Amino acid sequence: MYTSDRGMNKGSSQNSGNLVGLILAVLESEPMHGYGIAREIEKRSADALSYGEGTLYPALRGLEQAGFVQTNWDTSGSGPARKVYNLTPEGTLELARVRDAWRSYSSAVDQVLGVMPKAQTA
Amino acid sequence: MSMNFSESAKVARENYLAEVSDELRKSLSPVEVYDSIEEMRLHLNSMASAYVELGSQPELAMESAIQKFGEPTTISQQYASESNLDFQFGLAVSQLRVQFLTGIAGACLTLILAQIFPLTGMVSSSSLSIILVGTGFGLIVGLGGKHFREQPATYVLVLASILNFASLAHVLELSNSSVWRSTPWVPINLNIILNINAVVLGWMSTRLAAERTKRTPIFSIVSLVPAAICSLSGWILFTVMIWLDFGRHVDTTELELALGIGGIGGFFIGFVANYYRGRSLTYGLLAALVANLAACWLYLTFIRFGRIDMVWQQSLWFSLIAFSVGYLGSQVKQRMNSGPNRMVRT
Repeated sequence: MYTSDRGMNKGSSQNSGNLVGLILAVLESEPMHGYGIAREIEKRSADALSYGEGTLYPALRGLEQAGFVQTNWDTSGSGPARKVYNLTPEGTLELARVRDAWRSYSSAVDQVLGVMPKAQTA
Repeated sequence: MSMNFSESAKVARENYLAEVSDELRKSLSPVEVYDSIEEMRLHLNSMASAYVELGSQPELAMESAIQKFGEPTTISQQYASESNLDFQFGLAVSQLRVQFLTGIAGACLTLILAQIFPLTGMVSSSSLSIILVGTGFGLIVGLGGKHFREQPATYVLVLASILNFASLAHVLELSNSSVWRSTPWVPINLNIILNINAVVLGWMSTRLAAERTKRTPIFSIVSLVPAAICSLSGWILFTVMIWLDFGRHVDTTELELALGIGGIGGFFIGFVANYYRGRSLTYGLLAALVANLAACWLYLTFIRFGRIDMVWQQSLWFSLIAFSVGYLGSQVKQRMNSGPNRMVRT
């Protein structure tokens, strides 16, 4: 079974597991090619999330095979064609599921660490 | 964001991509490796260009880009890991579009053929051109594959399968004529010519597709492998047919046998398509294959009972069969690949 939050609680593979969720979130706003996705993740996280950008492509392939994203070739530019990734309706549903899973996960970690939301600690 | 890099930067990039390519070959098909490397090359160029714009030297910029891109072995492991993971059960609906289109188009095609029978005689109790209906399925599967995959290999597969089916129909037609008995080598030559056409047309269409997607022509050479296999299987099929029917008529039992052999050929096409293109097309082809076999069986049955007027009902039946088989195939495949440990990256 392919789930985009796999590896979320598997130590070293945490980043790569979360990467899939990050990709889905970035593609929610607009279709992008691989480089654009990497830059958008960097931008949204203010450079806090770091990963080997080459691992983006295996993750994208997995998402495509799962039916969460589909691809088109952008031939509009003057250079070589670029593969553009779009979020599918199934991908949108998966993103919602990933967000729910992340909320549960982070909430559980917060409780263990004793980190309470600011609204409650004030 | 593109620029001209120095030779040393290009060499560094190509050396790195060669390493990645070697690693990817362990888990991806040649076409997928080619696609991925092209994508990564563009990504590296964009990254290096951005570093240059920030004030870095081109050589250092490419080095930094390569470093940030990651170790080739890591990327390969990720790909291998993705290959072992299967998609979530229940997502098959999104992959049914190809076979759905196949079924609908097959139904439409057969209906049209039935309607124009008085003019063309393409579908009748005495004609074996029903196999041409399979051409329609192949075409629509190919169009679906093109739409969803945008890969030149699809064009080759479609053309090869169309021409093989068409030549089979022609050979079978000839087998009922005096031409067959007097000049048995005519169908063999015809078959060879048609298969050469399949490869040539496949190659041409691949080139056109490569041009349209601005890819390099070398891609078309890789794509010719499925076409060659299709042609070879078609040739073997016709040779068997000739051996079976040398000097006499084909009766319905032999026709069913021939269709069975054709089915094996279709399976090969599906297998090759799976290797090169992914699972959706395979299910589409499998669905089309089963539908065609079912259609032929139905036709033969109706021929015996003289109920050719029920063509439209048959078309609905085998469209339904195509859809069901495609759906079941997707589900079975997912169940087989879905295990308790599959969802965890190791």
